[in-house]
Amino acid sequence: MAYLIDVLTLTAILAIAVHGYMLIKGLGGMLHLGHAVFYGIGAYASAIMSTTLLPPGYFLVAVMAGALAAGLGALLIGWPALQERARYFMIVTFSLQLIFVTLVINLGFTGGPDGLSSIPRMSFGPWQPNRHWSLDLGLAAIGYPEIKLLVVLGFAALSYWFCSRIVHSPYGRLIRAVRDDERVAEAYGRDAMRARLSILLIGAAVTGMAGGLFAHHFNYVGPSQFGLDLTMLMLAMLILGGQYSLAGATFGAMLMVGLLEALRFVLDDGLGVPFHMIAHLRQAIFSIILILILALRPRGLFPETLARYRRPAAMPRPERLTRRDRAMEPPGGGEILKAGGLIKHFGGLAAVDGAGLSLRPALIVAIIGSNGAGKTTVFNLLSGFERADAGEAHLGAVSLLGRRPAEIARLGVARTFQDVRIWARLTVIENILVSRRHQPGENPARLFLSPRRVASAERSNLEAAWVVLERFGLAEKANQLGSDVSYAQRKMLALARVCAFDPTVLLLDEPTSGVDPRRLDVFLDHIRAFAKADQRAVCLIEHNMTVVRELADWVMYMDGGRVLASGTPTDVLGDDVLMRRYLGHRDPVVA
Amino acid sequence: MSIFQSALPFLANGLSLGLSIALVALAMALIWRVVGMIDFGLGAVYLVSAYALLGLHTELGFSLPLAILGALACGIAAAILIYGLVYRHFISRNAPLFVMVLVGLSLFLAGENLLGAALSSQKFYVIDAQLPGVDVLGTRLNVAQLGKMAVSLAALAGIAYFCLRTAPGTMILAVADNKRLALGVGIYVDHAYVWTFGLAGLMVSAAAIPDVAESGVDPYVALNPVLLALAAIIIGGLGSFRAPVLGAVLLGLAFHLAVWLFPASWQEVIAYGLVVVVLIARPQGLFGALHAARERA
Amino acid sequence: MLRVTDLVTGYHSDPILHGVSFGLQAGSILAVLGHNGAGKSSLVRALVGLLPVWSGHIAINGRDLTTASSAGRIRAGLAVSFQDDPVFPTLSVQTNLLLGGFVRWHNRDLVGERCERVLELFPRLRQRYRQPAYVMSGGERRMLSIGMALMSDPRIIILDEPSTGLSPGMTEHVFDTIAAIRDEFGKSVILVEQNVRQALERADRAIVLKTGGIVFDGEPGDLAQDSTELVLMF
Repeated sequence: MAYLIDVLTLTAILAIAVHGYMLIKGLGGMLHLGHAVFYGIGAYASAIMSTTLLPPGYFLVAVMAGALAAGLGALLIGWPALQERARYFMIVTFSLQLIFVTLVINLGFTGGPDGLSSIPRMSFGPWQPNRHWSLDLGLAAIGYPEIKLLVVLGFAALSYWFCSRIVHSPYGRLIRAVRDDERVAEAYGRDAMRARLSILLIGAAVTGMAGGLFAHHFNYVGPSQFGLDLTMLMLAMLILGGQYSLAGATFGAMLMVGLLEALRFVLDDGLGVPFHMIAHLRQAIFSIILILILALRPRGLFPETLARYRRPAAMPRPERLTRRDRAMEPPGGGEILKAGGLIKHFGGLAAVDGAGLSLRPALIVAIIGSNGAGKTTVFNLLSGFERADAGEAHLGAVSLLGRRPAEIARLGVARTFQDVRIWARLTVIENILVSRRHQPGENPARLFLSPRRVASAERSNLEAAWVVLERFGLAEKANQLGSDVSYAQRKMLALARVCAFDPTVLLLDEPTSGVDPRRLDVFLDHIRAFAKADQRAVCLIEHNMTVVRELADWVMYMDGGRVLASGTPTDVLGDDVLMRRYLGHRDPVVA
Repeated sequence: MSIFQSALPFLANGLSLGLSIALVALAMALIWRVVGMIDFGLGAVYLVSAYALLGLHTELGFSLPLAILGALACGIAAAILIYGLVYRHFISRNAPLFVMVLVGLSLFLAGENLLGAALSSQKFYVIDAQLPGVDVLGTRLNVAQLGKMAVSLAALAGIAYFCLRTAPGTMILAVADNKRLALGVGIYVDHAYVWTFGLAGLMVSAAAIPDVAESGVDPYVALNPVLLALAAIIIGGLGSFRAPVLGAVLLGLAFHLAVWLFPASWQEVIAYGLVVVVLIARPQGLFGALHAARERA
Repeated sequence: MLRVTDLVTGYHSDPILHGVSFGLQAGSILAVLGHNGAGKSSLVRALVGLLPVWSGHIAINGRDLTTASSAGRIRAGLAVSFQDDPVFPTLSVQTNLLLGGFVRWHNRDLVGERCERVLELFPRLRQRYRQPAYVMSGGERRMLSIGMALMSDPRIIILDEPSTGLSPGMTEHVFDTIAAIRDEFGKSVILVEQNVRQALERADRAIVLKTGGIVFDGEPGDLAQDSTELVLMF
């Protein structure tokens, strides 16, 4: 019985640690191979607090100190390791895992190879139980181990509630978007680095809390407890349960402990395997289990739980899109975005060589030109995804060049991508929800400090998202994963998403490529509505000349990184010399 | 004795260690470039050939040269079998890098612990007698150490010859360089993978055998070579086949010179600390850039 | 020679080509035209076996290759020069050429003889013979790639946008070489291009792809003569 309680207590502690792993690896998508380090930091920090720094009775403070220390450790690791090179994160954390044990052995205040022993039991203020403490309840007596189990279970429940609040919040949604495609998250004005760092910190703190509980449960911490095998055990738990699910992380820990205990029972009592072999066999078996899960069920037992949204019964009717006559507006005056002299070299090649453009509200400008003419690079320069070598670009009075993509997006310049790039593992409606600006729920602190405000903002966000989906004909697909809808629907979603972001300037990179010609009209109507009804400045790169002729007020022809000609669609498309050149006929052209 | 002379033994030991790591690092770099995974399963291969040497020589009574050949063959076979039975499944499903790393790591840990369970964690020696040695530059290098350097240099030269001069070697290089085009000229990529893993198995065995002859075998002997090899390719980079070798030698020297300058217990902290510093300061390695197109993460 | 019937293919669950059919005559150049996203690259990948065929058939000389691996198709007489990364960058020109003839390695004399012919066709490659491919210019790399495709003595050569990133003079040279491949080497060529005019000048037949389907199949001369009209067709 005592043994069972001991195992249950440890399981609950491990489950908390795996919750932290789920936040970092599952939700955050960071390839993290040093989880035992955070657990170890938490354990050591709270052990040191309890043994030397704090008077008896401050168990809770010691555990919180463990969480804090692990969070600080995560900041120290994450700040440099996530800076623009997240793909090396796996190797950095792995190396830290290898260093950690030797480091702890070599440091003085960690007790060296002997570790720290005689860590006090859990205690709350004046209640400081000794080993034989018990509470007689008549039928049964409750001893210290039972109380300890209850306390740890309480912490596990708290951790589950806390993590679940994170996972199912606008903040959690943003983290998932960053996990799917951080460049696009930046194109929507979010700071991907900050998002990753914050979830790493939260996950590490939860894990550090588990470490603190462990120190007070086991009353001893030593360097050999936090090695690579512990990280692998926690990974096996996480992946068995399902790394994208909090329930999975919890059950994974329980299942794994159950399996290993059953194994110990069979080997020890059933087969009489000598004791020294059992530890090795347990390790070998969970390694093999991990390979099998990865081979047979790489997503684990529990899938990611996606919020399902109900379509509101009374939907405001989307306003009818009307085809307005395309009155030709004269160029010049009222321009909102102006760029000129843009230059960008890749190696020795000039991709953009002095191009410029000028955009005005309610005007649609189309850029045409063959592959390699520098069209997409111009977009990349304007949206901050590439750094211009020279030139200038202004949105109103603000200079755009030299700013990061997220800043430019927040200023109101939004772009789409040639290769669609919707967040594939968010549902259709979540794609819209993430894109919308001004969400208090994206700040993890506000989730817990001002939950009402977050909830009401989320309600109005949701209403607006349904309106957008209705307008773009995607309401039926709202709860499907982005990766599960058809190409044309993804293309449409990309348009809907950028519309939900509500920018003042819209850069569309081949919005209709690959779209079934029969559905083309719908796309054209939406793009036209952007410009005409909502008074936005629109610039699009397009290869389909039918689209250009239908849509554009002004056409720019680019070649060799320069704007060779511009004018009304009739002028440019009617210019035989230009069109012959476009088709690859290399006659000299007078620009 | 001057400071320089007192450093000499450490230099010699560092060089010897570096060249030995270089073999494992080269195997790891080869697999990374051809297959696109960090293969910790090489640790299991190391263990197989180490214990094969022990078993063939001390249990079955084979002569040492025969046992060495047998151990090499076992290493190659183990590497190819691991590919065929485990990795192929994941590669054909385009498993992400993280999964491949976990699978390799799990294989390694499973092998280590199965051996630990079956044969205990005790250390066995293949050669009981004190190894003969020669004095070089004021330090005593034994036969195994000298052999290790000679084997490593010969193996590195042999690999270079194999890749540049033979048909299977060219095939491997082609797949490493541009997999789609390799398919486009009619190469069976699976064949190239089998050759790659066989070659990696040979290199790892060639590193394992002199190590084991020198200092015996227990289930944990493979840990340091494999982790240091990973460190070597991080420090050296993967730009060319020369880079990991240089990285390994540099790391071997750092590892032993660290002992000369600091307490021995800080050795690993310094070695892996070097890794973290390189990763943060110059993630493409000190000796060359990794082609972005080949990254699969 | 080559017969493609009702070919449907795509990535993951998205169809890119919806039922494409065309034929290729022996010793002729077939121009495949169309814009970005029209499905040209997918067609090349499906022909070479890098993209699974969902339905339809691909046959060379009556032999069905629909389910053959890419290695099997190359052995059946197909060769390809890709648009992106068309060579092995760190290997020498010599090794690149040898690898081009990989499926004929059992016949060393043939490989040596082909190599000589390719070097005659592209004298520049002889000067670069021992240098790694990455030091070469884009045009030289393109020549090397076309040379590699000739090395296996194929019946059909697929050239995916050989004029990408080339200067006008170099483009002209590459197109002349393609005509020479037909006239002197007697190969059939599938020429996938965006450079419509120059491709049409040399082609014996042309197909135009738009959003995954064929919108024109016929003589190059029958395509619209007016540039604007032709542009609008894409």
